[in-house]
Amino acid sequence: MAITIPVKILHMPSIPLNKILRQFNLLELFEFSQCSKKAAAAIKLIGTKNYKLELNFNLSYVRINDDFKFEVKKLRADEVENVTGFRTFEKNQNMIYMDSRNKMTCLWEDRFARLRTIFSHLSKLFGCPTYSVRSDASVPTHAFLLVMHEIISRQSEINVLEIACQSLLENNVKWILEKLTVTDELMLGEKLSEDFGKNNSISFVAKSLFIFNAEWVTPQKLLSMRNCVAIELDGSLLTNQDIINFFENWKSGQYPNLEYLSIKSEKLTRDLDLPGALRMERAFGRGQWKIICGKQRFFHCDFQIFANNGTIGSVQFDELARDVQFLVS
Amino acid sequence: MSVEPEVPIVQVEEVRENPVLYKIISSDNHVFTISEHAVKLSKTLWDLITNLGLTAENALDNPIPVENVNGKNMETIVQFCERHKYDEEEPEYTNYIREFVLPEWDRQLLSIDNEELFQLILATNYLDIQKLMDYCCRVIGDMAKDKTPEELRIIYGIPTDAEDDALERSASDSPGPSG
Repeated sequence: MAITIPVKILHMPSIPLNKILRQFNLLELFEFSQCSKKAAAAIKLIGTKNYKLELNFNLSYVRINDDFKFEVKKLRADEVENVTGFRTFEKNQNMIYMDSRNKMTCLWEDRFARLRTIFSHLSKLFGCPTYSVRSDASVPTHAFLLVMHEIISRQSEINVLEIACQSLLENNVKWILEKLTVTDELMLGEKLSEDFGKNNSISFVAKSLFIFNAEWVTPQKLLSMRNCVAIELDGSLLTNQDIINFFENWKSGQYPNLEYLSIKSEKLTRDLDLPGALRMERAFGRGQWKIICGKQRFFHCDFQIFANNGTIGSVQFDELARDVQFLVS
Repeated sequence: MSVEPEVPIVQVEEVRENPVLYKIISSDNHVFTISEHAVKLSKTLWDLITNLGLTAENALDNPIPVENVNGKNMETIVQFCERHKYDEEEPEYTNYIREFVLPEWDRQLLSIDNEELFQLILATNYLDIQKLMDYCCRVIGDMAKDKTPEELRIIYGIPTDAEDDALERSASDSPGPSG
């Protein structure tokens, strides 16, 4: 059998090494990095620090550049027969198989812990910031906080963040929001005390803001969200008067970017009256669709409201659901 | 070692069309003739020609020694440069991942053993020939398709961490020049 002489690319000058590594797709880069520590260190040469790294606890994957996914599945007997090899993540050997050209499936007993390990391994390997973390109430607090610690130690901004796990202390939420500025999409799912809104100076600059359990959102806090494009507050305690005040602020131009607002509050009553608004007759089946911050919204117009600069907004008020929605035309 | 000049690779028509020729001597004393358009693909050689003030009149009388490139690689390089001398300038690749189609002629030219390919890359790097470098790297990059880490380690001659550690230990244990 003929012995093939290797092309020792790690012995090449940096320019050709860089160009060779740039020919690799993400899977090939990852596989190359598994060869040795020196190989793993070499891949940073090609500017992997600009990669987009996403962690999705809900769907159990880490994704790079919208292109390649490492998915973690719970180890089950019927999955073992698919296994084609082992890969090392942070010194842990992990059974894997290729689900497709763009997805590697990793099998492990503890899905969340392993997902964190893979995330941590890849973020160090590529040296890139984290673009998004999506989470939900089923995620163990320990795994979520470890991820947050790791991200906060390396970056002060993140594009998308969902703050949700089994149980977070109010101080943890405060710490995360103070250390990380969320620029595109923030979802806050934790139940926080009503005082949370008063005891911090966190400003909300994300384009899209979705807050469950929004009891703590005071009218002043709502005003601090003035640069957002979409605001959704679920379970707030805002009153009719707070809503009226919000619209007065909007009319005077205090929410220059706002395109959509939704406030659900048990304190809203059916006699909500918006001064200066034009009541519209709701026609069945004649709502409007609009995509705002990537989400499609369906909307009926019960009132039209006019800002001082001539901008028109449509208000939908669902008395039963105690839900006010507002769409800027 | 004195070696007769290699047969010029340029075709007669091309010489007529572009009469300025340069002579290059490889590290093992092979002599190559290359046209002006072709030699311009090598930034290193063209800078040298410009700095030496070589002209159409004195170029053939002043061969350029290239000590870092042997005859075999120089032959491939001259063939490549003559083939691509009239190519339009291409934009810098941004994404790289198999962004361009490697022409069949070039794939054939680069169907050489791995040791030669390695040496050719070093020569191309030294002579700063962008396009040939991109093509060589593409050939080497393509070797990674559908390979596992174990296979990549063999193809690219990557020692394991343990082997790297052992090499470092033996390097630090070995006595220095003074003994």
